[in-house]
Amino acid sequence: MFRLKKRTVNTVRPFVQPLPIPQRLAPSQGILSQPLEQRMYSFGQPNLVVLEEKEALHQFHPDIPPTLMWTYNGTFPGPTIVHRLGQSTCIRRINSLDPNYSGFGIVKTVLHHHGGWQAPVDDGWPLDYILPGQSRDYLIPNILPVANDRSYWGSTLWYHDHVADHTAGNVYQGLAGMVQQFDAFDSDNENDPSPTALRLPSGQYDVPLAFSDYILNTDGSLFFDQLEDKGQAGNLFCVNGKIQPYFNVAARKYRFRLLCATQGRHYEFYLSNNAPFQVIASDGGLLEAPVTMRRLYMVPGERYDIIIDFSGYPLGTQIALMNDLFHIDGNKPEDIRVPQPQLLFVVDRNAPDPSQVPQRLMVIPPPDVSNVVATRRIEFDRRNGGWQINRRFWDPTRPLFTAKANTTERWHLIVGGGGWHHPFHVHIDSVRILSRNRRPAAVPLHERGRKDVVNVPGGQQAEVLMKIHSYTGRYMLHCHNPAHEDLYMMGWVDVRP
Amino acid sequence: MFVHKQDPPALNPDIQRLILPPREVERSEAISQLLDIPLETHRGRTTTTKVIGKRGVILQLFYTRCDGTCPGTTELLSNTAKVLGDKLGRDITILSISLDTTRDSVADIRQYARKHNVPDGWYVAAVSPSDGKALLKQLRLPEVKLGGDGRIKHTQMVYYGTNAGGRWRMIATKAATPKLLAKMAMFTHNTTTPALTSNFGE
Repeated sequence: MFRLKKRTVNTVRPFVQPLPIPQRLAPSQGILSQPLEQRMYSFGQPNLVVLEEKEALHQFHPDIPPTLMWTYNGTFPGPTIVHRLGQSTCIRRINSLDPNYSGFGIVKTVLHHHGGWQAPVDDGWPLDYILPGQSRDYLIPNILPVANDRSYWGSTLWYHDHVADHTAGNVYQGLAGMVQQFDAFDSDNENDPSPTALRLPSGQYDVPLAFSDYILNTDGSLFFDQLEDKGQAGNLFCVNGKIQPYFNVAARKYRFRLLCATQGRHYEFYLSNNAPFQVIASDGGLLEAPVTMRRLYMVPGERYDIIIDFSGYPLGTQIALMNDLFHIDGNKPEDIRVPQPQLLFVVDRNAPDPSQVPQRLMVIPPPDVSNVVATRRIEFDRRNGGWQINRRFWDPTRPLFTAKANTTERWHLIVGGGGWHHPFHVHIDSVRILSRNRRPAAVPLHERGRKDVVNVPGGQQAEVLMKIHSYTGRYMLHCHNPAHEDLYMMGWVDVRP
Repeated sequence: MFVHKQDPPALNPDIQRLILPPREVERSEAISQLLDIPLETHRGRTTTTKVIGKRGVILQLFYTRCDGTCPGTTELLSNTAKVLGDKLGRDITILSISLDTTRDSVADIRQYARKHNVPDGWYVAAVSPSDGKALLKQLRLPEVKLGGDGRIKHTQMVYYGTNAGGRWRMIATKAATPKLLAKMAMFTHNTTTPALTSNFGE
């Protein structure tokens, strides 16, 4: 019989477990049971990495029983994929989930390499799923779509499930991980002797932070409401899969790669001592110059790389990374503020710091609107009992519009009333934000680099410049609130020659 | 995963002040199995929602006097039934449950089913007021209220899912074409069919 109430975990002791750092995924050395198809060699010999989707027990907190989740290679979040510019990668994804699983989510899975530039066949079309026992290879070219323009090379990306109808459930089950990208300039080496190397904090001082929020039943199992149409807001705040962990840091600079991987929750991050930090990269790559900020707003799907310098603090200093947005559901934060610590930094040692944060990180050409071939309105609204784009729901057989390869378009992203936010995400490539509410000056400095998620609050609009590259075929665009996208607030662009 | 193996820190007073006191959170249980409630069907049978067995289900909430969205949704289901063909009753059951628990009699239900040529594998049913209320609660829907004009404001969603698989989804009726609804109901019900073509071959 239907029970009306469910016992869930209300609160747990914060800062009793260390922050885990997902392992970097090493290229596979093993002999493949199935050879790579010829297409995978299009950009030379690829690095081969293997992601196996499988069930595994995950411990969110020592006071809560372990949770059976879906993982990539047995960990939540999954291992971090590392790309280098000029070295293509083949991701072999193997679905080893239980075909007889019963519960939310679906074992038919899709992989989306979020923020990457890849052909539609490798991009994660929501119906390109594989079943338990099957595998699929994805080619990530790791080349610049615009020759010699490094601004098209991302910094922090991520990968996650993207199957039709069940993306929210599958990502909540644990199917998400992060991606780090490097090149000769951002070289993953703070001791790099090259005069052009940026020498940003690297190695153990380059730390991915994936933020997510969960509700757990008292037996440790995941609580997830499949019929929540606004996006579920969890009461347990996780960083890299652990509830409110601590992180012992050295008194020096760190690069943190922040990913908002929630079901709808937004964050506004700040440090408990209100100290400034530097934002050096957004979704699409490094910014032109670091932007000093004290608060950073993030929505589902967004990434920002920030530098926190602990060198001025005496040993023993404790600083919490805070968020004070309060959600009842995933549609939007409420009007009240409730400060909640997410992660505790403990300065516990000294360490040499050869890293630097150059005042010039990247050359980003100004947006060129002179060759725009089409201007489009892309409106997000609640109509007909659901979430729509341009008054339409996702139709896998009919594109939202057709575009021409190797052209540039200007898109007006418009969100209707009701106060609901819609984080816009497009799969083709990142965009440049030209204006917010028709005011170019309203685009904050940290949003002036390349972006693949553009949050548009209710009643507001943003104008973006979309350069469509050479691949032809189907690319998704959608709201990145997973509940909204599962209810078909999605469309696709048919890119033609 | 790489983890620093160290003891948890003793918290400084300024950090302790940031920790909020515990608060109680009550939650309604999320759907896994459709609520087992008695159904009075258009065929004059008394059964329960268990009748769906291991099949997938498409669930419509309607009322016979509706002159708003219900006729269109019922037509959508009629056409979906045609798309499903022999899968209806074998793989998928359609369940139309009346929200108008005080007015819709079994005779009303029967007449409605006849009018819409409801085929085998599709149950049109009335439920008791208390069961209807519980079902709405499970589906996260507000209680229905009879307006002064005799109309009921109600959901524009059609639900589909599987008790056996514990998966449930919904789609706005305006989003659904018969082909899409049939395919997505089968997609959610069946986890062994490979993706032959990535757009359903349409």
